[in-house]
Order: sequence, then structure tokens, then C-alpha cells
Amino acid sequence: MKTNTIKTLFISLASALLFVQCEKQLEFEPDGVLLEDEAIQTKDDLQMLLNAAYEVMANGFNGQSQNLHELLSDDVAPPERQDDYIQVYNRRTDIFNGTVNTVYKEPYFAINRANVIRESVDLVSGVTPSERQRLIAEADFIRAYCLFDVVKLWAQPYGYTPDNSHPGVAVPYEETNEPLPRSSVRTAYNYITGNLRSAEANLPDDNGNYASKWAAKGALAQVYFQMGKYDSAYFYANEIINSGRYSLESMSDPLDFRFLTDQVSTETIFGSVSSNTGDDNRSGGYTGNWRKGNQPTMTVSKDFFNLYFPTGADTNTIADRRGAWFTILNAGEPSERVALNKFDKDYFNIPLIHLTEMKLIRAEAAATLGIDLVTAAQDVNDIKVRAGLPPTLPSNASAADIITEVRWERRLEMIGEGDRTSQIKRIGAIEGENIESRGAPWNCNGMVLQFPAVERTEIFELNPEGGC
Amino acid sequence: MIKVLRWGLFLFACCFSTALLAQQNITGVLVDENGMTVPGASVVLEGTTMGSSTDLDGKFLIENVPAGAYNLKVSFIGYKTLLLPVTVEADKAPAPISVKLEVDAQKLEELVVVGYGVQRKREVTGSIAKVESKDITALPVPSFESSLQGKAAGVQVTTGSGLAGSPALIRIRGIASVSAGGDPLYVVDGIPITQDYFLRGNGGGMNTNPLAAINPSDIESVEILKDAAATGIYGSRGANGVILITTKRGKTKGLSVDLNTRWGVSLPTARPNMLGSDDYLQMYQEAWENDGNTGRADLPNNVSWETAENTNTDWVDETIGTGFKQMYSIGVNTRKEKWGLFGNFTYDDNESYLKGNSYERMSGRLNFDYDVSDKVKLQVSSSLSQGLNNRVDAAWSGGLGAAMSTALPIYPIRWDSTQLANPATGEYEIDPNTGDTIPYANAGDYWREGGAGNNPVAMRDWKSWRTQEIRSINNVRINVMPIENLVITGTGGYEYMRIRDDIWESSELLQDGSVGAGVAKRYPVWVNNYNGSLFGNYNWQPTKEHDFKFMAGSEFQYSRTERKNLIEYTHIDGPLYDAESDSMRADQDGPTEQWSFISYFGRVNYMLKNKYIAQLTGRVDGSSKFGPNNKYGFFPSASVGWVMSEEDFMQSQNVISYFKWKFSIGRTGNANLPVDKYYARYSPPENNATYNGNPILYKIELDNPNLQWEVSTNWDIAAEIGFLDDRITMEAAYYRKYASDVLMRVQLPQSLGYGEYWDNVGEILNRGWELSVKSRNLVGPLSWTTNFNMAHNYNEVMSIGLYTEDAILGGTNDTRVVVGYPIGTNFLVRSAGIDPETGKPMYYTKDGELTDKWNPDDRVPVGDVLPEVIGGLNNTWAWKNWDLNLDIVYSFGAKIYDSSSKRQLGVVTDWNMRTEIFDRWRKPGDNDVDYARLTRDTETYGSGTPWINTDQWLKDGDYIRFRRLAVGYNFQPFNIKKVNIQRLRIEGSMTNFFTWTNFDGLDPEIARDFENAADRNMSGNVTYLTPPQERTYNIALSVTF
Repeated sequence: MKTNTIKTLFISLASALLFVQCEKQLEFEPDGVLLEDEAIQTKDDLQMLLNAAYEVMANGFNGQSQNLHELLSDDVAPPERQDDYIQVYNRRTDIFNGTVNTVYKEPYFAINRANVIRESVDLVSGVTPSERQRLIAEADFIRAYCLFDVVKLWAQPYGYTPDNSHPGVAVPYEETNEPLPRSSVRTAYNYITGNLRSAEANLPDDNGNYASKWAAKGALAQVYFQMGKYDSAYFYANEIINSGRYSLESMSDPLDFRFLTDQVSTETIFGSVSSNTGDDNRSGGYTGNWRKGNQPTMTVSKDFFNLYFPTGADTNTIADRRGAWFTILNAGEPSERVALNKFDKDYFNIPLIHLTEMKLIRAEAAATLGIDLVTAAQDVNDIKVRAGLPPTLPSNASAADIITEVRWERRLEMIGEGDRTSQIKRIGAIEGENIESRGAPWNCNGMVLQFPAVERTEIFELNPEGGC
Repeated sequence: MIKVLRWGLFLFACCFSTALLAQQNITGVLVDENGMTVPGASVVLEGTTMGSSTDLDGKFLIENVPAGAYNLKVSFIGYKTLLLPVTVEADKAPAPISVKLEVDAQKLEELVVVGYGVQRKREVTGSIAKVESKDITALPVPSFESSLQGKAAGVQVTTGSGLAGSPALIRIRGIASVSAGGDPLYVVDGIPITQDYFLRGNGGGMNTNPLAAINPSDIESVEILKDAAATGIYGSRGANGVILITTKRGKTKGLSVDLNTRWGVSLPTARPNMLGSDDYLQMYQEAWENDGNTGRADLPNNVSWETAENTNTDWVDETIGTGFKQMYSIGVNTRKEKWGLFGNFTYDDNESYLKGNSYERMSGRLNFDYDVSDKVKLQVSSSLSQGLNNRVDAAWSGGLGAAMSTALPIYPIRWDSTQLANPATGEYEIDPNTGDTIPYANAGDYWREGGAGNNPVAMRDWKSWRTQEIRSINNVRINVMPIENLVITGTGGYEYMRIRDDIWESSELLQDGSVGAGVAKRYPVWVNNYNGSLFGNYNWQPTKEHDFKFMAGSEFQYSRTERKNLIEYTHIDGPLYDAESDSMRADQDGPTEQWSFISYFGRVNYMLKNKYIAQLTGRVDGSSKFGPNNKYGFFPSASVGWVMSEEDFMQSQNVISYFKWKFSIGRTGNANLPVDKYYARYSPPENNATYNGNPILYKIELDNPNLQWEVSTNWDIAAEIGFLDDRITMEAAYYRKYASDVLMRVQLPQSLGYGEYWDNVGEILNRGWELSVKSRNLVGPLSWTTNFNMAHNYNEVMSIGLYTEDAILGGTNDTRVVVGYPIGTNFLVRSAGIDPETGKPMYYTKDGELTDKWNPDDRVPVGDVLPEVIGGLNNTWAWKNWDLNLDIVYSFGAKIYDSSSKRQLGVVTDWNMRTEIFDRWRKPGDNDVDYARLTRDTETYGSGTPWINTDQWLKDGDYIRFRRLAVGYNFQPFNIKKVNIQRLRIEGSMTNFFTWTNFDGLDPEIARDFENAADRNMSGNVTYLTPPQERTYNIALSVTF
């Protein structure tokens, strides 16, 4: 071989090595995964993204979240055989509580999926302006509704400090890899109401089982009521009730009421849906913990039961149809417990915003504001009459009487739905009453759940533990 | 053995002996200025192709020299070349010649392999430790890296567990990685090889050992590059050090043949002290009664008291035996004028002391050199090896691990009589046709009521497991010298690796009649690794005082890993490699992984007056592993050296013979992260649930376009000193490595809506010093040489970004990354002893208050698993034909987390216990006991789980280990049937024969099976049912002719 030939060979080799199209050599398509440009190509893909946000939201509200709310309240008995639940009930959650971690995670995963939709909506061509508007509005609804649940469980309530500057929760405005700081409760509620108002403005009147304009209005009623902004709460609840779109369910069968299998209650303004196919059951948090056939983890406390049914819940002797919701297990034994039958079925749809609650909100908001007391009294009577009780509030009932009655009805009517703790906190924080839950003041440390371990960062302080 | 030797010698005598008349042999011996013999020097007759090199005793022999006058040219690196006239007469053998060499100050010292070139030791400004071939083959270990232990300062080698073929853990100058691999880069003859310890996860309690297929006998030298001046040329892959492996090449004038063989036995360094039946039952009953129960305890797995009391199985004895080892190796080495050849074939069968466990390697290598012309030289290097690892379950997976945990002494191996009814249910199975009772078990059947895994004897019958690794590393290199002083080198490398994990499980094990004789599973992985480089070295000496060297080049590497997740056959009566079946049940493709590097690099060396040295290196690395915003990184280094002993002011004394200062500063990287981690990923709708009857699609991983290498900013100052004409040489170094952008696989806060995420977030400091001393204490007929090294490393995690310790994924057994503490900090609840009144264990809360509740929220940093001081001490004595070699290694300052003790000495469960449990609380007032009251109820220990990690199980991990003692006898060269035996050596050795330690567990030197790279970085020195290392006794024979 001649040296010249070799030289030439090397020079060409060198050139080849140096000027090779480097970028291509440094990128390989990962195998067995779906990348962004493949995943999001059509508007159907966007719809699937949105459905995934509803899906994970439905997982959070399949009873899991509601159970944690209940466990902090004065309505339930100590949970059995579930260490994580026992921690919550004892108001001593720590950073390693797996159940609390899951309930914390699901709404944030839903919020993030909603954020991904907001950021992906313009990646796809062929989306009409109205479709775009709806996709974003649904995403906003999901963001707000999920954060509302998180801020109620992991932060002291709205009204705990005069300006609500007390520590709230992480508020994800957009998708990010940067850990979020802990925002104030005020910031969290601004996010919730802002998103809901924009959802209200842009959602359609009808949207099947997904969020509609009316769902946003209902959520606004719930949120404003929690915030003590009773005029706004009244306004939205009133608008929904007067729209005629929803009607109170009768209580002809108290055991098949509101939480219906394969059909959506006429009361439902927004809720999650379940089917028995595949992995599409979104009521497992209820069915797994409350069904009396399964040695229920969750039961109602005897104090609660005796308060409403001092003579027992035998439907032959008492008028209140809601007595049928309760069954005494192991009567007379030390292990006697009161099971709640509301959720005693294989699977069902869960109304998260329903007309009964709107009537309860309207009644209490009106009474608190001192307006429209006749309607308020009627709302309470409607609930009572449906339960088979006489309409005890006269049309000239006082605001104070209405408030007493509506709170009484609300506690029973929404048992198991995760409402009671929020009412305790609202009454404590907004109304300034000295209210307790099983001996613990509404604002003590343990009435707020601890964050999961991975949530702690340099810019995210955990909740104080213990103390009640 | 003698027979084999005789046969071998006879064969070679037949092949190679030629006797010609009128020829004589020239013999002689070479000594240095101190009278020490000089081995390995070149002795040739100038102008001819006749010549040889000196043997270990400095002797040389040039055979069959025709009568005539010659000039004998004697040369050796670091010495002046001598020419001696020799006359050979036809009828008389010349008298033996004695040659004394003189040191050549101008050409001092050996050559050192550096990246993309070779440097004289004097020119080297970086920190490089060299380990010679004889040290690498000395230990009877299948994998060469274990033999580096104690040989190089600052190189921490923890030999793998007692499982045959298990990998060692190597760290150079501390640990600077968390989630990315913290191992050094291994380069074989210029090719960065595949080094994935997790190709097969940690199945069976062992990781893959990517180095096991490299034959130690092939290795000429191993250079360990430590500081930025040395590793800078490897850019984004140099931060954790680089290990350059150079294989042997033909260099013997004439032909030399090496035959080596070794036989040995393997025993464990320690045996677990598990309870026998009587003691176990006593503990169990005591716990039962302590818990307020009466009567006899319900024994685990429904074992009756009668069975339990009549059974006393020592499962440790059933899993530990004596392993036999044998190794046979033949090598040829020749160098002719135009070509050279090195070839080697080795068969090495290493049984461990675990019954049924061995690593058997066959490997061949052919390194061929051909000088096309004076200006074009070709080198071809090729190796092919097969490793057959006969596996047994160990550690958490069973076998000895079961013997140390859930295989109870009350469990029999076999039924001693026919069992009609199911012992758990009391039910009988009736044959519907005959109405006869089908016995639940026949006498002699394996007993499996405690679970099949808890009968390791049965498991060895019911399960076959073999991992086969085929590996070939090939390299072609062309050196072209187009003009004087310029060498252009082109290399092409190809590495192929195939790992097949074959498992067969019998239908008895599976208890599944539908699978015929059994189920065979295969998990294959293929790796193809290509590498090409082109670089030039140019030397320029404008005047005698100035000496420049330039090197520049580029390199491309591409690696592709393919796998099948599972191939499965039923109706098969053995593993797939020796049985057949038509019933395929699964054939699942796995994901293919690809990565590449494109690199450009350069180096400039300058030496002034042979005493002032400067070096600059730079490398640009682009990799497919880096995110689009950081595709390329630049890694520079600068270093200087000063041979102070050349200065005039040093000439007036004669104590210090050599003194060189070195200083380097530079930036390197670590790119040892998994592929494709910067892409956002979505979960495809077909894999997902539906909601409201409609499909869903969602993002499962966030993209990280900024993902990049870890950055290591290093400086190093060192001195090399020779005393008394270099009778004593030493090197001392101080270094500081600051790693930033450390890769962490974090669990993102849930509020971000994602799970794990790879991010460059951490900062880690390593700083320390190293000292190595080599002293020739005695020279002359009785010689004594001592090599000593010691290194101290301080490690501190400076930052983990915004995250907190529980967010960093991968540390098991409660080692964590805690800011202000070393990597692998034991993050544990503190034990506060035992309440003498109740016998319950007490703990401290994180605020230091006493509590009887064990709450993981009370974990605090209580220690760490990194040693403070490591090193080795080697002594060699030689007297006449005898030599004696003693290797000692030591490690101080590391903690051991004896993770299995919490179950062996904790809540009484279906785990067997260790005899230490005798020292326990029994009655109120017992205040000087080690262990709490026995209980079966975890709540007694204030916990909801028996997995109670506390610092009670954190132990002092200091040890001094007598790694190897060898006695050798070297015969004088002699002739058998005209075959000249240049070297014949017999050696007896033993390894790990004595260990000084305070550790009360099994073996203080621990490299467990790891779950992932982070576990490997963070949880070394955590033992969990880990088999102890082996102790071996060996005899070896080597012949060279």
C-alpha cells in the first residue's frame, strides 16, 4: 500500500467522521413508548386527554376523599383494620400515610392533566374555536374542583386568618418540573373561583356526564358558601334551582337514592360515573369501606346515630325514611356498630354537586343574609317532606330557626358524602362559633391532614402535627 | 497434576524442539546498579532476529546461535542501552555473561498508557495508578477487578459476595453520583466496553457482572486514571475515573509458551449462627407466653409440635458445601520482525461454596500485529469468551438466604412417612374412580408446607438456572506514520454480548399439572457496541530543550441493547438449552435501547528542559442521552509538572533522588445515565382504563430538555518522591472533586402531577488525600519489598436542590441522600435501649425524646456506609528460589447496616433467629441485655410492621483483611528433551484467611445485590442475607518455555 493512498483514505475518513450529520446520530426514538408528537395529533386525542383528567378526578372522588373528610368529622366511629384511616381519625396523620398520599395525589394528577390539555390544545389543527373554548373550560373546571378539595383537607379553612394569608396548598397554574411553593389559602381560593368563573362563562349548557355551565355554577355555590360569601352562594344556588333543569329525587326507595347504579340521579348537577366493565368502576372508595357485608372499615358513630334516631332506626316505627340508611351490626355486643347503607351496592354513580345541596346552601345562605326567608324555610321543608317528615318550619320562621334546621338536615342528608367536616370548619372560621369535632377544636392541627413526604421541599413547609 | 504437566511438556517438545549442529546457546544474567536482577529486559544479537528477554531472575538464553561474532544489545526502559561483543565458537558454548545496567536519567521509568496514547512516567502530570499483570492474575477470582483491591491508592474495591461471578463494587476517589452509575469507565484496548450491572436486574440476589467475561490472563496492565489531567481526555465519561485495560501483545523474540494451571477449594469466610429446633421452639413459645397466651404456641405453617420437636434441619449445612476450582490456561507469545502474536486460551471453573453454584469461563484471545511497512502498522485484537453461571437463589431470593431467614429448623427436608390428609385443612383427596385416598404426600417426598422456597434442597432439584454470557471484544487499529514524528491512528471496535438467563421450573415446584414436566423460561439480552476513532499524535522538538506533543482526534460510539422480556415453553423437562418443547407459551419482545456518543478531543504536552511539564486537554462530547438543550458538553483540563530534583539546588544532597510536583485542574463529566430519559412519554389509550365508556390518554413522564451529564470540577496536587536512589519511592496527592448537576431520579412532589423524573439537581463534594509508598527494604539474596497505600476521602452532599431526602429514589434499607452528610447516610430511627421493666424497645423521637413508638418520621442521620480510610499493604520476600507474598487490605470508618438482623433478632415470626437472641430481656429488672422481650406482636415494639429499621442494626464496619498469602518456588531454567523450560513455578496460596473486625455479622466486606445504580451508590455496606465472601486454598503451577 502506498503512503499516499493511505493518506487519502485517512483524510476522507476524517472528513466523514467530522462532518457526519451529527444530530441524527445523537437521537434515537425510544422503543415501546408513546411520544408527544405521536400522542397528540387530532382533536380526538385532546378529548382523550380531557377524559383522562376526569378519570383520575373520579378516582379521587370514588369515596376515598369523602372518607377522609368523614374521618375528621364527628359523624363516624373509629375505623377498623385500616391503619391509615385510624391515623386520620385520631388526627395524627404523618408524612408516610399511604392513603392520605393517594387522596392528595389524585386531584393534582387531574389538575396536571387539565394543564396538559390547556397547553396542548393549540398543537392540533382542526379544533374549532368553540371546541377549543369548551376544552379549556372543562380543564378549568377540573382544576378548580380538584384544588377545592385539596385546600379543604390540607389547609386550615378560609377565614382562619382575617386575610387568609395562612398556608394553603400548591397551586399549579401550568405544567412544570419545578416544585411549587406553598401558596396562601387566599391564593388557592382565587385560583378556584377564577377558574370556575371562566368555566361558567365558556362551558355549554349540556355536556353529558362531563362538566357543564351548570356544574360550574354549582361548584361556585359550594365554594362561595365555604368562603362565607353567602350572597354569591345564594345567587348561584338560586339560579340552579330556578333553572328547572334538575329535580329532587323522591325517597321512595331510600336504599337506591342519589347514588344510583347505571343511571344518573335527577339531582346530579355534576358527578362521576361508573360502570361494571373493565376498570371503569369509580365508586371503590365507598364500596370497599362501607358495605356491611365486608366487615366495614367505615361506620357511623353511635353518637351520630342516637342523635337522629334515639329510638332506633326501625322503619316500621319511625317516619324518617333516612332511617333505612342505617343497620345495627352485632347489636348488644361490644362490637356493635352502625353501618351506613347508602353505598351498599356493587358500583354506582357519585353525584358531587346535587340539587339537595343547592337547596341546603340556598336556605342557609339566605337565612344568614336575612333575605328570602320564606324560600329558605320552604327549601328545608322540601328536604324534610321528602324524607317523610312533616314540614316543621313555618313560612315565617326566624333566620336562626332556619339555620338550626338546615344544619340539622344537612348533616343527616349528606352523611357519608364528606360534607360534615367542611361545615364544622365553615361554622368555626366564618361564623366564629366554638365548634368541635369529637372534642377537637375546628382549627386544631390534627383537623388538617399532613402532606406526603415527597411534598416537602425547601419552599414547601409541612403542616404542624399533633396537638388534638 | 504431574501427569498433565508431563503430557504438556512432551507435546510441546515434539512440536517445537529443533536441534541444529554447530550452534550454541548464549546465556547470562542482568543486574541493575544495586545488584538486583532485572527481569523483562530485551537481549538481542544486533543485526539478527535472534534474541530473548530476561526471565524473573534476570536470566536470559539465546538459543542456537551459529558460530560467529556478534554484538549483544541489552535494553530496558529507564536504563542505558548496552552493546557487548560476543563471540560464539562452533565447538564450545560461550561462558555465561553477567551484564550490569546503568540508569539512564534521560529515559527514566516506565511507560504509562493514557487515553489515546502512551506517556513516559516522567511526563505524566495526571494521577494514574498502574497495576501489573502479575497482580491481576494472582487472585483466584473469576473477574479481574477484585484483584485491584489494595493495589492502588484511592481505589475502593469491595469484592462481590460469595456467589460465583458476582460483581465487585469499585469507587475511585469517593462517590459523586446518586442516581447515575458511579462506576469508573472501563476501556479495553481503547474501546469503552458495555458495563451495565443491571441488564438482568438483581434476579436471584445477584447483579450481572459485565467484567466477568474478561480473562485476567489476557491483561498486560491496568491503568487507573484518577484526576482531571488523566481523565479529562474522556470528557463526559471521566468523572468517576477511568480504568484502562491493555491486553498482552506478542513481544517475545522467538516463541514462548505459557502454561498455567490452578486448583483450589472454596469455603465461606463465615457461617451464619442460626438457631436449631429446640432453641427456636423455646423462643417461639416464650414470645407466645409473653404476649399473654397460654398453652402451646401455634407454630408457623401449621407445623405440629410433634413434627417440630422431631425435626432439626440445619439449612445452612444443606446450602453450604465446599466448592472446587480449576483453571487451565495456555498462552503463546512471539514477535518476529514483521509480525507479532499473542494468543491465549483459558478454561476457568470457579465453584463457590454454595451448593450448585459456579462460574465457568472459557475464553480465547488472539492479538496480532503486522507491520505493513515501516510506516504502516496494523494491530488486530480479538477475544471471545463464554461465561456459564450455574445459579442458585441467594440472599432475599432463597437458598442460603432462606436458610438464614424463613427456612425454619422445624421444617423437615422430606416427609418421613406417607401423609394421607392435607395437614393444613385435614381433608382427604379421594380418587373419584377407585374411591381410594390419594395421599397428600408420600414418604421421601420433599416437604414444602413452609413454601417451596423454604426448602432449598428441593429447590435445587426443582429449579435449574443458568446464565450464559457470550462476549467478544474486537479491535482493529492502524497506525500510519506519513511523516516523521506523526502517527495517525484509526481504530474500529466491535463488541458483542449476549446474555441468556435460562430458568426451568418443574411441575412439582409450580404445582401445576397443566404444564407437563415443567416450564422453561429464557430472558435473552443482546448488546452490540460499535466504536470508531481517528486521532493523530505529533511530536515536535524545535530545540533540544523544548519538547511538544500534540494529539487530536474524534470518536464515535454506538450501542444497541435488544432484549426479549420472556420466552416461555411448557411441557419441557429441562432448561431450553438442553431440552425441547413445541409448547411456546410466551414470546414477548422487550424495548430496544440505543445510545451514542460523538466526540472531538485534543491534547498538548510541553516539556521544557526535561523538567518543566505542561499539559492541556479538551474534549467535546455529544450524546443521545443528553436533552436537546444540552446535546454537547466541553470538558477541559490543564496541568503542570515540575521535576524539582533536576534543579541545581537539589544536586548537593543524595537522600532525595527524585522529586516531582504535579498540579492539575479540570472539568469532567459523568454520562452514565439510562437512555431516553429526556423525552415526555404518554400512556397509550390501548393500555389504559376507560372513563365514561371512552378511551383516555395521558402523559406519564415529563420531558426534561435540559437533561445533561454530571459536572465534576476537580483539582489535584501531588508529589512523586524517590529516596536513596529510588530504593524508596512514594507518591502523595491531595484532591478536591466538586460534582454539580448531579443526576437524581426524584419522586416529584405529587402537586406536579407526575411520578419520577430525572433531573440534574445535586452537588457533592469529595476531597481527600492518598499516599503510596514502595520500599525495597532488603536487596540481595534475601529481598524484601513493601508496597503500602492509604487513602482518605471526605464525602458530603452539598445540595439536592429543592428536594428532600425522601424524594430521591433508589436508596433501600434507609440509606438516604441528606444535605450536609455523606452519600449513603443511614437515616434511621434511633434506638434508646430496652425498658428494664417492660422489656420493650425504646426509641428517640427526632427531637430526642424517649418514646415506645417506632415512627419513621423520627429518622435522623446516624452514620454512613462510606469508609474514611482505605488501603492495602503488600509484602514480598524472596530468597533464592523461594518467594512469599502477603496482601493485606483494610477499611476504616464505614458503618455496616446489617439489615436482616431486624428480622433475625426482632419480632418473633416465621424467620429463624440467630444465637445472639439468647441475650434477651426475660423478666422485669433485666437491664443488661441486648435484645428486647420476645413477642409475636409488632405493637409490642411500637410498630405496625416487623421491618423495624433502627440504628440498633448499624454496626462498626472496620476491618483488616489478610487477602492473600502465597508461597512460590521458581525452578532454575532447565531442559527436558531439548525443550528449554525458562520458567517453572509452583505456588500455594490462600485467600481471605484471616479478618480482623468488630462486626458481629458474617463478613465485613459487603457488596450486596443492588436494585439499581442509586442503590449501588447509596447502599454499599448494607447487608441483607448476603452470602459472605469465600475463603480459598489454591495450588498453582506455571511453566514458560
